[in-house]
Amino acid sequence: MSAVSTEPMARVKAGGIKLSERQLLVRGAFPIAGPDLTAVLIGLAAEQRINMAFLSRTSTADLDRLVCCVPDRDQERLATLVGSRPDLDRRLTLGPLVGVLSVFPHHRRIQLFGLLLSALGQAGIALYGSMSSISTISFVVAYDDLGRAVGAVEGHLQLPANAAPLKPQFRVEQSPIAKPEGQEAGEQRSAHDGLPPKTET
Amino acid sequence: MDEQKLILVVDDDPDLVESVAMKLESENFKIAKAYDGVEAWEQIKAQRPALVVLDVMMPRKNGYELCEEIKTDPEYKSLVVVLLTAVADAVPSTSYTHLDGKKNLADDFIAKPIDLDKLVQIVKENLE
Repeated sequence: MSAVSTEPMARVKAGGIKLSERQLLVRGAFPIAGPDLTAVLIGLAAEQRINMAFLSRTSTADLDRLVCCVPDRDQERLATLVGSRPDLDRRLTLGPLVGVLSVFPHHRRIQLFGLLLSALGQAGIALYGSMSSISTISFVVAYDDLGRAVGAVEGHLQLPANAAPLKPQFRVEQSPIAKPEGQEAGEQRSAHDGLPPKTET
Repeated sequence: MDEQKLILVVDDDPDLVESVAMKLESENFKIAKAYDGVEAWEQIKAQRPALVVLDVMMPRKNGYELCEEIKTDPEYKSLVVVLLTAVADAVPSTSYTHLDGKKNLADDFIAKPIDLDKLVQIVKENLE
C-alpha cells in the first residue's frame, strides 16, 4: 500500500463560488422496467414551475436513482404533487434540507473535482450528491453545513480578490403551465408545447 | 487579419456565461467573464472591452446600475452594452428601436432564453 502524501495541496485557481437558497432534497429509486418516473416527476414540477437547483440521475441494470433539489418554499406543493401519484409517492424520500455549493469555472479540470471532494471530506461534510455542468462542479450538502463547506473549499481555491460567494438574491416566480386538455400530468410533454415565457431569472 | 475584439460576458449563472463565451469564441471574439456587477465594472476598467453582454438581475450590483454607470462615465460611455434579460418587454433602459424607441441607456438587448445565433448577430451589428 502506498503512503498517503501529507504535503499541503496547492490552491487551484477558480472564478467563484455559488450557493443555492435553502433546498429540499428529493431522492428516489425507480425500477428501470416500469414507467419513467423521473420524467414524470420532472414534468409535474415543470407544470407547477417548481425549479430544480440540482438534478442527477444514475441508471444501473435495474434501477434509476434520482437526486434532486427543489426550493424549500415549494416543499408543500411538491408533497401534494407527489401525493397525487402513488407510484411516485412510495418511492420518493423528501428531505432533509440542503444547499448546493458550486465552484466555477472548472475548465474540464478533473483535479479540481478531486480537490474539492477531498476538502469536503477532510472537513467531515456529508455529501448527498455531486455533478458537473458546462462550467460548474456542484455538491449537495446539509443546509446547516453550507457555511462550513464554503470555508473548507475556499481554503483550497485561489479566487479573484473581489470574489464573494454568489448567494441567491432573486426569487424566480413563474406562472403555472396550463395543462393541455386530455394530457396526463408530467407525461408526453414536448419542447414545443407552448410554454409561457419565464418572468425573470 | 482583423484584430480580435474583446467582449465581456456578465451573468451570475456561470453556465450561461460559459455557453455564451464558447459561442462568441467560435466567432473569433476574445472573451472576458464576470459574475456580478462589481466584478464586471473592475474588468471593464482593467480590460477595456469593446462590448459587454450584461445580465440585468445580479448580486451586488445589477445590470441597470452598471449600465448607468458605464453610460454616464465620459471615459466609458462609448462601450457598447447589450442587456440580457428574461423580460425583454420590461427593459426600461434601452433606446433600441425593437422596443419602440423607449428612452434609455443600453445599446441593445437580447431576451432569455438566449438564441445564441441571434446574440452573435446582435453583437456583430453593434460592433460594426
